[in-house]
Amino acid sequence: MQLCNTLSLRGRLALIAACVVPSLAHAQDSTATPDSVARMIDRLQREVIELRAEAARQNTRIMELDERAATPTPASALDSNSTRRTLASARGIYGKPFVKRFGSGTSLGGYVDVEYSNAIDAHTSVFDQRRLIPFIFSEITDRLHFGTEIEFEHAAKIEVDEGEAEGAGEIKVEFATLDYAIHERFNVRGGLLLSPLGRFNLVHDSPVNDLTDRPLVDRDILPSTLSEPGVGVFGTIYPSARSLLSYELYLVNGFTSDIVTAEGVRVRKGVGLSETDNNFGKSVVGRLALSPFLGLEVGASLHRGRYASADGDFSGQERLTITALDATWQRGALEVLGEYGRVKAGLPPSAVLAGLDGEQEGYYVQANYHFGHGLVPPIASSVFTAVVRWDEVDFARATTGDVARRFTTGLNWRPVEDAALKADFQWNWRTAPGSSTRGDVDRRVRVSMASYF
Amino acid sequence: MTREQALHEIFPEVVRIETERRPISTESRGALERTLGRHIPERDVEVTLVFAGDGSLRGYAVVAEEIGKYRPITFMVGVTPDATVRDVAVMAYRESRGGDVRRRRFLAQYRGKRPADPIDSNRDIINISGATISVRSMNAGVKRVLAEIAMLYPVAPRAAAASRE
Repeated sequence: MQLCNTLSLRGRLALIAACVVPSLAHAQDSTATPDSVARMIDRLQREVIELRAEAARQNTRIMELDERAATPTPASALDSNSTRRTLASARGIYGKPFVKRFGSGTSLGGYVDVEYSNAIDAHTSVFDQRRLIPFIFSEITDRLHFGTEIEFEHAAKIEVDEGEAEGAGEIKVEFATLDYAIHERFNVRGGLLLSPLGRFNLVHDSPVNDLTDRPLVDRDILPSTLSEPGVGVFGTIYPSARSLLSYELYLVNGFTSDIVTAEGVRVRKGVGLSETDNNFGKSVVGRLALSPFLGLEVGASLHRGRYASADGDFSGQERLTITALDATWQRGALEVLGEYGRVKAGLPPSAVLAGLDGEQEGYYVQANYHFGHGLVPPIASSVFTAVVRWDEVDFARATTGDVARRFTTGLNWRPVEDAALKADFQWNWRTAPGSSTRGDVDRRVRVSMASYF
Repeated sequence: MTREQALHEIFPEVVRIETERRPISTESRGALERTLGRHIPERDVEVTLVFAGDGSLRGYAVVAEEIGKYRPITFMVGVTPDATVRDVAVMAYRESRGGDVRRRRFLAQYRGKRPADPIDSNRDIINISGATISVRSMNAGVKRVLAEIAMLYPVAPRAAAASRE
């Protein structure tokens, strides 16, 4: 093998010649008959063909060994645990525009969206470069992986003048996790986690979603995008050949007393910070999802823990429980999805006396229908999707009113699957606290573009 | 999963293989890009020809790699001599979500697909909730391999393979 490795093409041809020339010399023997010469030539032709085939095989082998030697690992190119590829067909991936590799196992990508909003009844409109989210992923070792998304919202422009920050927009680390892969059934994750509270929080990227605005329930009850510092486990189990059960379970800092506002409970306001835990009591967040067969998935999520610190009106023992149920079903061109969320917050006596309600709930139901494949160039990949969605959130279950409702129709076009141009029309209604009469409709046009890069 | 394991999973009857590195000309690459609607950076493709014990050509196997949301998914596509997907085996899936694409319940959808089939989510492939990007990547990879095999081995190579026997 070493000989083959070091043998040049010219050397292999010389080897072929060395095999062939003695035979030719034998053919030139004066005693040979025409028949024997013909047989000899036939045999030599076969030998040449065989030697050429052998040389081609050795050449291929040498190319493979050369490529393998060029990589810094002895692991097989096709080893499932290796990230280093040696096949020419495998290298091509890094020629793509949306992923670049830095170092041995780090990739860079992301997504971007830009939105136009027109509030027809309020006579206002605005363009907004809503999100620019680069992501970095690194395979530190075969088992240790790092991933992060950094969110720049509303074209963030922050200037620091004499120690004071001024500007607009928002910059935040959306998640930053270290995963240690042990087994498909059991893995460990720590860092700033994307909380598994409902399906939407886990699958919230703009290019994936078919409408511009996120569901109301995922803004007000299940505060997407919710990420919290913590640690936990996740995995996937296959109870049968057709079914799948996945789980995520984490211990996190949890929410803060800021969820209680003058208007009522607003969980979005009390998302915990990374540097402190106001009550040193940890919360549990987890999701269990079952897919009995391909095309159907149902999930249940829970976030529970003490949220208040023992100061002011709070005893420090008040608990917040958020539950969610979600389902997706698809058949052919039709998808139906939905999510239900419920908040139950223990309130201090002063808040109860002030008339605040600690229970809220909301849901959405959405149907997507994909059609017009290739109707508009690029014909190989383009597709239209028609969407309808109903949203409803009740901010105070026990009292009348304080309800938000929305009906949305949308049409989007994807030139490729990773990018979408969306046009939505919304009808929004608000019922004031204490009222049983729906307010005037607030109509809005939402147009946006979103793409991975 | 190693290449050998993937080959045996797709072609259990494999007895002998031959590996060819077939160049893709600029013209052919242009035709592929028009068909697939995407950039094809590769200038060649490595094809493994799979033979059964009776010497008959049972199909072609190509190792493909497509980016998921963050990381490449490495998989083998087995194609029969009449350009139909025999099966797909995922050799390496590196994403933390969407591991379902490795499983038979998902991959079975690709069996029998031909170059003219859409091989597209929400058409003839059921998506996996939470792994939309991975499914799209798998679709694109299978479609690309099918198109490459149909282009590289239209009819004559089968006759050539038979003649080699």
